[in-house]
Amino acid sequence: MGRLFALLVILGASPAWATNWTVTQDQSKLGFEATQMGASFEGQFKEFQATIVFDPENLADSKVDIIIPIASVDTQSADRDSNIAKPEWFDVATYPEARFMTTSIAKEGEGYVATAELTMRGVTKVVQLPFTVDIEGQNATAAGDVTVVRQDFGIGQGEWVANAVVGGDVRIFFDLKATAQ
Amino acid sequence: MPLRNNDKSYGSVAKLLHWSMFLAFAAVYAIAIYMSYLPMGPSLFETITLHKSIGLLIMGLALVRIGWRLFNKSPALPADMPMHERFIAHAAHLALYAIMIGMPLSGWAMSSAANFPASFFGLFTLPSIMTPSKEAVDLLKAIHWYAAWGIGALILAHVGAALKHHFINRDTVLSRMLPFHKG
Repeated sequence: MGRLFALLVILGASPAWATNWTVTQDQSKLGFEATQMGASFEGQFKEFQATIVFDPENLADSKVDIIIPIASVDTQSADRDSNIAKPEWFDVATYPEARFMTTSIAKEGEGYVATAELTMRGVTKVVQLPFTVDIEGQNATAAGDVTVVRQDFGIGQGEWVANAVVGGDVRIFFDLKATAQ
Repeated sequence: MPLRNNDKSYGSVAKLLHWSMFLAFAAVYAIAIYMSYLPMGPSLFETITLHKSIGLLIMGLALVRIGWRLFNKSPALPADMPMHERFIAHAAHLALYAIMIGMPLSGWAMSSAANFPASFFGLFTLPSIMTPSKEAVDLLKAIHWYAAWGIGALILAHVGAALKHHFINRDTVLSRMLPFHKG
């Protein structure tokens, strides 16, 4: 009886183990799209550490935590990359990392919506990020984006607060490839 | 003043295009010098955008100008002008046309290579003509910089030659391009 109970507990508990996923960095993109003088440009972060636990059948235990070293930014312009690190922008010396950490994930339509705490330049804001997940066997692709207002995070100080040259809206996007552990 | 060129003088369209080009060149050089002293900040971006926009305007004007020239014979050079001077004059003018297209193109390519899309006076954004590359930016920057000096020298030679024709040869080479001169 005791043994059967233990077995039931294990069987009952097992669906609660959501899958751990390892991101394949060289096939994944994590970046942003911003505007300069009304024209959009894209940047990517070459490095980031992602901890992903995800199971479509167990969203309650699913979570995503991504830490991004801002200094790994690549906008294809050495001048711009070095300016992004400066105090007026991301102030990398004081705030070397940005962080995206989900607090809940809910099903919505064909995809999902993550409610997450996004921390940039020392400011944390709650964002709603819609995303899709495509799981095929041990491989998964997840993609989504969210538009934030850079000034909400204090990104672009002084003369840069105005939207005239660098637009306020910044679209953050990701397209991640991951394998199940 | 007729719109089209005749044997003796340029028409008003050719003159308008020439002097618009003069103003655009003066502006693009003045802005280039000014922006090289600006610190990093929004006004630097605005100034660079203005420089790029005028550069693109030069390229557009050049296309119109070349089109107009193809269907409008230029007034003849002075009959007594020696062969080698004629050759130099034609080569210099050909070079100036090449510059009006090539220089803006190198700037546009630099913007594309730097992933800094070029906006035309904030009205629209030009498509990218190059894959972003830091090496290409450095190369194009050097080309644009040295070409700017070379072109400056050529323009001085162009002005100098016009003045020489006017004051030394005392022919109509300069006056027939003057805006309000009836020739």
